[in-house]
Amino acid sequence: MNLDEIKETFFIECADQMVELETGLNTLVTDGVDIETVNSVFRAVHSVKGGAGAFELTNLVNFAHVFENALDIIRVDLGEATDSRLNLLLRAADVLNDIVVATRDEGEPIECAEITTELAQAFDISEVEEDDPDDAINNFQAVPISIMDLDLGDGGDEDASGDFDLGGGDGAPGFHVSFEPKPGLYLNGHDPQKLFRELAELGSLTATCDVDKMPVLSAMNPDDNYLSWSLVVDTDGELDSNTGEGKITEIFDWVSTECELSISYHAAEGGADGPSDNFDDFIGDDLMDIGEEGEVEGEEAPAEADLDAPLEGAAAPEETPAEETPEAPMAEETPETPIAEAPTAEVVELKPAEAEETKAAPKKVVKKTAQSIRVDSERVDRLINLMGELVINEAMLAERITNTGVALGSEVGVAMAELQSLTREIQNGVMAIRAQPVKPVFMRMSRVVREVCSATGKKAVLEFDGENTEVDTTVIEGLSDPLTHMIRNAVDHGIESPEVRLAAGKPAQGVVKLVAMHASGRIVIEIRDDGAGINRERVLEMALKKGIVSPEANLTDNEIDNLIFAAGFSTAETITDVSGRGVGMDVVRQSVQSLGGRVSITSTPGHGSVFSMSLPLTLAILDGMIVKEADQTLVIPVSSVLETLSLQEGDVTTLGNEDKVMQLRDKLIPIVDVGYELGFAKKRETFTGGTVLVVEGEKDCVGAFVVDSIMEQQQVVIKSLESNYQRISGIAAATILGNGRIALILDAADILSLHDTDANNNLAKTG
Amino acid sequence: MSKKVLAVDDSRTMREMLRHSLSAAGFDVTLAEDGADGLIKLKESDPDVVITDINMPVMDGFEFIENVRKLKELNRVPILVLSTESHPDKKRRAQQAGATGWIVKPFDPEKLVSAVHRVSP
Amino acid sequence: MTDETTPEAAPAAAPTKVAPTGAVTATEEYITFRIRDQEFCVEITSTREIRGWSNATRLPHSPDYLVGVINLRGTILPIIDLSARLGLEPSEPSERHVIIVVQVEEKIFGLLVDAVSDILDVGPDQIRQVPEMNSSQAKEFFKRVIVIEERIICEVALDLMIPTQEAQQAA
Repeated sequence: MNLDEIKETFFIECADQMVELETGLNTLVTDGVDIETVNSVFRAVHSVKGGAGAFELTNLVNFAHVFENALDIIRVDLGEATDSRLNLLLRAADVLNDIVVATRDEGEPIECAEITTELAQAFDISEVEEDDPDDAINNFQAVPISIMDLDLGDGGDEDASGDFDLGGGDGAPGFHVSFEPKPGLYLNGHDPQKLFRELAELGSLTATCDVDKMPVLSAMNPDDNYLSWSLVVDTDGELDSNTGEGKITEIFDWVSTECELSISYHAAEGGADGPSDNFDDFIGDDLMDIGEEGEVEGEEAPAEADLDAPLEGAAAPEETPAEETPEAPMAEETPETPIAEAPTAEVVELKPAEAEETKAAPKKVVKKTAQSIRVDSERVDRLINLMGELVINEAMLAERITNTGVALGSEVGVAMAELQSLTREIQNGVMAIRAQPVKPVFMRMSRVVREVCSATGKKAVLEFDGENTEVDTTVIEGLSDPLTHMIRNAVDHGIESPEVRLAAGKPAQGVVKLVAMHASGRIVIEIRDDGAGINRERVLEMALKKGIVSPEANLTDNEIDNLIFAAGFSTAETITDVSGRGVGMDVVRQSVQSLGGRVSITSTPGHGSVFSMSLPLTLAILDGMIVKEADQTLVIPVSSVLETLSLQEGDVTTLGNEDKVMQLRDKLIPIVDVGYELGFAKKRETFTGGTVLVVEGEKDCVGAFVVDSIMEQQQVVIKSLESNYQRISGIAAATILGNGRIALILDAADILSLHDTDANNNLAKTG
Repeated sequence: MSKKVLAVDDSRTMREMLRHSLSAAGFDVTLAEDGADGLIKLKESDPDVVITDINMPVMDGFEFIENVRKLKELNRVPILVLSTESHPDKKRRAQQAGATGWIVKPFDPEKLVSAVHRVSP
Repeated sequence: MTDETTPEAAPAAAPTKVAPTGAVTATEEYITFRIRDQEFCVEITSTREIRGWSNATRLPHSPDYLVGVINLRGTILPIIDLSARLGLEPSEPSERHVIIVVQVEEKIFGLLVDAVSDILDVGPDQIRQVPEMNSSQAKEFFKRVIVIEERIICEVALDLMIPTQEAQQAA
């Protein structure tokens, strides 16, 4: 991966994190506060901040940082999570999401000063802490990279300056370092050799190993350390005492609490400096430096260090003599330290029980990590394409076997049946790989509800059920738009204003519930609101006014409710900026139908409405009605077909010059001569005996498709015509049949609209 | 033979950044998604240096480091903590858990590499 | 016609194009084919494979030179009757015909031709601009002209073969 690709990955990951964040915050609001959820929310923001920092996306880092600070207050004390704070965090999450998107698309920067102030106020983030994030941010900007220990070194310099004239040591010119590791130094993966290696980079290094404390072998505890070193670094005057000590302090920073350390400087001309930093000062520097960042809080006293001393040391460095006087330098470098290394091999042998324990512990969690893997979506797409090939080839094989006259019960027939069921299973399994929970789309809807509420002054909360229901990603992508429309509609038109609700004896806050479930091989999504329900009188009045229904039409309640899906229908008494003008539920119907789905509404006046949409689980495969027409094999999506029947003499009437219609119960529906319409054949002279599929198109259009015969109903793999050619009107896609031939999948809605709306106008008049 | 680094971070972005920077510096990089994954990868890859995030699901960085230090083998591998958190408590805890050093995110690839060199054998 | 030449086989027949350092005399390979008595060619790098004719599925509302679509191992492959496309007499596809599968950018389609005849190594000096010709319709579909000894072969401009949206609507 190159950096651009990593950046892309970052934004993909951000999207995931935003879902995590939104989900978590919603859970906190609805199910109460628990630390697990708070942690996952924190982690989401934290992770966004981390990645953003790596790419120096300052705006994102800044806001994420403020967000993180607010969350940290809740993380420390769950009692701090009040409803109003959580709701503020939800809004902040929206802003964070906007910033992520704006950053990704390199759009206009998002204004976030206001919400930042709100967060600071609501979470009572004090001045000091407010300064602190700024500091951190400034660091990010100026030095996008910082290793903490470098900061610590600076503190060391300042303090060291106070220490200088003290003591008087012997020995060679240069920096004298007394270094006595504690066992923990080795346990934490340090190695004195590496430290010496770094020291040697500052100048010539003379190291003397002090083995005086080494006990006899029998008394030796392999976990202990018995060695200490006296080191002299001669920089040949290149580093002054301050700089040099700073550098040495840096080198030992990571081991500062794991050793006894003192550093002193002996000037070359024989004048000597006393010891300056000792271990306590060191810790003091550490704390003070951190203190400057404003983060000092009641810390646990570190085991090795006296807590008071460091703080004192920070304020006014104490003059502490070195605990060990450096020995006379030796000309040799320290040899290997086999004794120090020895414990490594033995330490666990002495504690076998513990080792067992730790071995077992990770094993338990291993299972969890194996629960999900990330796979390049291209690989999955390729697999799905291959699966399509498999389905087609299996169909071909089956057809050929049938053609050879092999009996179903024969060995070949049985094997074929097994192959078919295996194929079906593989197909389901493969589709399941690309299946995703609808959750991310659902979560986005919370925001829609919040926005509509704030635009309309209504109060509503969004609840979820079945948000983990899975559906193919291609369907999920298409789900967002219609869902957004319906949710807006539910709040804007469904939920009443708080006053009206209270007057009706309902709680001021309405509830919109988003439910997903699987039903007969499709996914059903419902949007339930506890609002006023459809005002049928008004809907009917509107529909009449707009000529959508004829005055004579005798419609059932349900039919009236579903009129809201008719083109150009909008019942909003005041056109709000939320639902928009004229763009109503017919847009929803169209987009749902383009996904091979259907949408409907049921409503109970005074109690609310339920929008229900049913969608295929995938756009890779559809249930098709295979028909013969004009020597062509065609596929009509089963989802478009309302019913099938055959035409009897007298069923067909001619309206005007050309338009043929048939009566279906109390409705007249236009007849579509499919072969003629597609240019495959001449006009039919008679429709008698023809097979009719009553299909549903957009905008309440229904048509009677006449074909020669219906062959069968089967699953077909959807193949794009556009990828190598272009879109053809009336044709949705193509598929490959069992005989290897290509069959076209008809776009019923498109054919109906091609057929023109004359007949429908007639229908409206005749009712 | 190039030195091996195991990088443990739950963020894919950070993992790829680490791989990118360290590979460029000639390290052989293995990635793990969290502490538990890190323990498995540790045994598989036998790294010279480990870099780990702290805040991770499943098994966080502290627990991971503690677990590494309790291993029968590989328990002395240098472990660098890479975290956006600079709170002294965290630092102290990491050290008590057995961390070898700290790097505060966001990191400079150069500083990262020098930190790795600093602790690698 | 059993002329099932595959592009993989072609380089073997013409081993000249192996100069590793990009020699000055680099030649390009062309595959030539016949429509009735005329010879045309396309660059071999655009060619995916050559296959026999199989029954195509007609597409509604499409121009007359679009024979239909066939199944090429799961890909929907549009077939263009090159003869009709060039303004010559439309072909009546049969077992004798050959489909040259070509790729232009992301699109793959088939050209229905009478037969594949040759694979040529063509040097830069053998390539000419398209001269003025009687049939202006044909001219616009040619990219260059290749002159080899006595033969004059027009290179088909593949990017112009698939109809544009406007052309389709006009049809």
